[in-house]
Amino acid sequence: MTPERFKQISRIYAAARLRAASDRGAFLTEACAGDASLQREVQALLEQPTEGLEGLTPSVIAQAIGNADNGGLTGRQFGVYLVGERIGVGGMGEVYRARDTSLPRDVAIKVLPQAFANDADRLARFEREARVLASLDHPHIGTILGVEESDGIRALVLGLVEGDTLAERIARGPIPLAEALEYARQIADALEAAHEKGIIHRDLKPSNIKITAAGVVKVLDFGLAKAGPLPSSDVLGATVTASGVVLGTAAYMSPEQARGQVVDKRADIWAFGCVLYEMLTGRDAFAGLTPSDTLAAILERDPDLGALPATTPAGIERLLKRCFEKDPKRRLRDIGEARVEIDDAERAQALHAGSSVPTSTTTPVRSSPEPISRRWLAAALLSVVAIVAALLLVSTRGRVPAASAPGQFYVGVTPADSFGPGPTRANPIFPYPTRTDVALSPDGTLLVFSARKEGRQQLYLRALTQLEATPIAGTEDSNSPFFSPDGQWLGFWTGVVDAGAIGELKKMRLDGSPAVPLARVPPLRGATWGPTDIVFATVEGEGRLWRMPAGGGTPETLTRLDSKDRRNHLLPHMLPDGRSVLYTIAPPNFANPQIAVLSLVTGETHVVLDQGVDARYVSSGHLVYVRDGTLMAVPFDLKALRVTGTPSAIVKGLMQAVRTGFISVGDTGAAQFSVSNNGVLVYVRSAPVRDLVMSLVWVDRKGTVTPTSVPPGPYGGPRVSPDGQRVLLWKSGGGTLIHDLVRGGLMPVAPGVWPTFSPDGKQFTFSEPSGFVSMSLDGGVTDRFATDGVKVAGSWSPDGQTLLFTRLGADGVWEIHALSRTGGERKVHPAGKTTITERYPQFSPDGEWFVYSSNEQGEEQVYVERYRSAADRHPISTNGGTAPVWAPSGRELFYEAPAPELEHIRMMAVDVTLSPTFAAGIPDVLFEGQYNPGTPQRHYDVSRDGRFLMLQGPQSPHPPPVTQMVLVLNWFDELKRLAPSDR
Amino acid sequence: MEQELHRIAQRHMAGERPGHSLQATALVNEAYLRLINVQKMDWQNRAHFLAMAARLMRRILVDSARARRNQKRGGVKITLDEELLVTADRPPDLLALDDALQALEKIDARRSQVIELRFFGGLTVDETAIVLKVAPDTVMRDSRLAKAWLARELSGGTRHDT
Repeated sequence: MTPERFKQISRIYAAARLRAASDRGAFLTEACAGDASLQREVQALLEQPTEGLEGLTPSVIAQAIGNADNGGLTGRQFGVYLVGERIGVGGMGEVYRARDTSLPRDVAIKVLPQAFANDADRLARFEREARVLASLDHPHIGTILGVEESDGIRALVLGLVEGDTLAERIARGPIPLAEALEYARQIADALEAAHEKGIIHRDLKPSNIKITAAGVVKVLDFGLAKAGPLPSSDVLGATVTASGVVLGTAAYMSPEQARGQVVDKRADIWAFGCVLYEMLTGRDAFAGLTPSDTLAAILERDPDLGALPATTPAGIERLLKRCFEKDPKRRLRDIGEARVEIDDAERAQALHAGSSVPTSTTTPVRSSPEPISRRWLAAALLSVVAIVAALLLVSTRGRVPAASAPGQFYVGVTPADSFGPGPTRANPIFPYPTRTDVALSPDGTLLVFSARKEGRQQLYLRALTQLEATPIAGTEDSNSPFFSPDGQWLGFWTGVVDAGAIGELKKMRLDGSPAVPLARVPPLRGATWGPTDIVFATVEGEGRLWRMPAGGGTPETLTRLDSKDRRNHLLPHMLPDGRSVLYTIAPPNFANPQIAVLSLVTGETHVVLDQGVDARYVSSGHLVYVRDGTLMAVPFDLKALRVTGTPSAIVKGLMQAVRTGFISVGDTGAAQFSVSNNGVLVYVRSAPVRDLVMSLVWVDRKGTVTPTSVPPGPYGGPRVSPDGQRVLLWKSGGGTLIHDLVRGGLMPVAPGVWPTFSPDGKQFTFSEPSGFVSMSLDGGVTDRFATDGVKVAGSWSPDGQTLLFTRLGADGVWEIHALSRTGGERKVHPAGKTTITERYPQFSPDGEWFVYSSNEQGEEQVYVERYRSAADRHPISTNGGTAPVWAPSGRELFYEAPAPELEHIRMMAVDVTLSPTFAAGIPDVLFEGQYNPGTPQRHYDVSRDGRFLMLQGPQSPHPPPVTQMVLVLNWFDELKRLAPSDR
Repeated sequence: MEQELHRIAQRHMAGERPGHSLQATALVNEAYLRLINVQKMDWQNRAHFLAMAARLMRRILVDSARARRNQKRGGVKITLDEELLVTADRPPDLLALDDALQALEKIDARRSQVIELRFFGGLTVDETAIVLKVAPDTVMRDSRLAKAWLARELSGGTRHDT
């Protein structure tokens, strides 16, 4: 055919297509004017489909490269096995049929992927589990004959199971109820047996479940999946999550897996629910066009139970609901319960079977499984070429419209163990960063983050072209990374984040040259680098915002705090003009935070946005900021410096340093995200921070523990009444409870927290946002003292006239104040403006003295001071001390000292004499244990009989470590779609 | 750079390690990892790049498929579990498609390129239009005809080589 001929054909073809099918014949005859060959040609083309070929699907790629090796093991001898044909290829390796030369049987040999075989820990765990499973010899678990190694290849030898996978079975349509329940029962049976041995499947899904011709279920591939949701170490490498490539796996992932948390057997229970749902409905419980859509569905939506067959027993529907509980704690606890539920339903089915319509044939009308749409294909294709394309587009720095679909990847923190500083002595509760600890270079090619490895925190650098990050030498104990505008320099802060700490602001080139110190400053609350200056926020200074020449020099303050409103200025981010800075204005508890702009030229400021924290301007023309853990975006006019649209929620569940349990220095509001100038977004998802569940116990001086009748809970600050009859506890999330030590019981008594008894024990005082409230034990309010801020009651003087309390200052440290019934309020400690934290004030029983802790010498120590006579002061502790309390006799002081083990404390005792002059003995260790984490109130008390009422724990685990970040390419497109400008 | 990509692909294809099954994404990502290194190169324009990426991917995949065919003895059932998704579609035979595209190129280079960009490059209609400097409608029309023509070629329809 000649080009001319083809042109002729194409003209007629195009014209013919515009006509209705019925008219085409006549049209062709006329248009071809007797050229029969031309007419045949066009006619034939018109009959062809014009679908498809809109992108590479995984199957196309598999066709090209899926088996592109030397034919694998076929024909080779592998141990005692003669390997035959390959019967399957998948992500977890290739599977071959093999003949056992020692026994007359055929087996399946599954070659473990290299990455798996090279991971010694994982392999060891897997082999251990394989042995246990093999010993189980369970009828519904695929037989594991062993793990073999030959010629450096590791493979799993399995019993050969002939039959379809459940996925293949479901692909042919929903499974009739009775049959589905029978399979579900067998699956539950298998899981139960494995769970009893402590083995979690981790990747239960229909393609891992085989059904033999006789209808016997075999669950395969126990424990093969990685513990995390996606192989995070492989980053832009092996697992592209962008576009449907791991959809199959994502669809069965539990919310906790999707969040990157450690999974337990409840993840299997979730997946079991997905499988059962899919069997009954023929469709995915959680489906999305892309894995991120699927993950969003898993995290946010409930499956449509209306799609279940009408005949589904109520018990099964209930079972599904319990499997689909997002919170693992509320999920079905034990797969054995599912088996019981199914047994019941099956029995009920059997009873009905004789009398009513056979349920096995009834399937209500439902929508067909979602067809593979074009968009879907397009998405799948993105996994391949488009990633190349997308990333290259990114590298062309936005000179052209960016590619159409954002790609999303998980980026692991390897070789580090976990993101952020991890639990530290200063903050054992909240293991996540309290500073923004991710930074992308302006051109989107470099990622810097802080992470912990083997107990050591430092900054890591990862060029997005690398498969792993590398630790940056000289950044040990550093945080708050930020790039210079040209991407050549990295700024950061080195030191220990703690109240009163001082560290160093530094900068370094990323070429291995050493860091250059710039200034000695307290922990940063954000930093940004402009054309000439670095602007940073810290707890010191009038306005908390500072600037200093990036080349070195003296820092100077920038803003002026409103002395009345106790609000901080923090989290600065330079605007592109280099002449103005976005920053956050917020009180220590981040109530009603605002975003403002400060002109570096005129010094003028104005508020641009309410209810926002940590705003950055991104070059799509938006402000991106955080509200209650949700990433928000709003169009922003850079000239007028004002928002021009409505804020939209973009990403939920962003990690942010609020409610860290360490409000004085931890609650900085810093959000874990960074955006490059060309539309690359990196962010970190937060695992939900759980309440610490503590047990209320009695501990005697020797450390002997006696439980109380109070059930464990998220409690703080027990206070024993002077008569030893009652205990006050406050509860995380709000509210004070009262426990009767004689009669038992636990009753809510007040809405506020941090209670302390009045000297006569008939009343107590607690904190509310508006001030302190005194209340009688039966719940009647007796007094109110209005005072703002975050404040914690310490103790009343014996005459009941003065309350010592602590208040969180705007500079993030605790100050001791006194509230008098007659004379109002005054600050007791510290004198003047400092960054010293002083807290836990308590009057001595005679009211002449008070005890408290202070970190003015660096480490926190306990002091006794004559009330209203600051010069008469005496150190008590010698090697660190906090949370002191007087013995009711007044002749002894107790306090907590650090213990070598993280989260443990030592209870110390010191003899004291109050008159005629003060004298203190040498501290003695009474006992040591895991007690009383957290601030801001002393979390224990001493009873008249000399026993300690302590909170032991936490009983619940800490929030799980976070091991991956999320990287989104071409994010601006999504942003423009989700947050269009109103103009 | 093209050579470099090719070398990467070849190395993978050669299957250095028995038992190591190349993941679809590994190839592509390695390609990307190499490509982003050259981001400082002055890309004349996006179109040039997209066209090149599509061409590159076509070459890599077709070469791989050819290498694989030459190695193969008999069919192997590919079960696309795990990372590889099960699709209901039967994928087109890459080698036949490549042949057909070459034939199409001889008689209509632009329509051949439309398919190359759309299928191998994964470009949208609009992007394809930008690359080829034509209207999106034209891309749609070209693409319909090209697909019809290819479909007929691939289904073994009569050739008219006159």
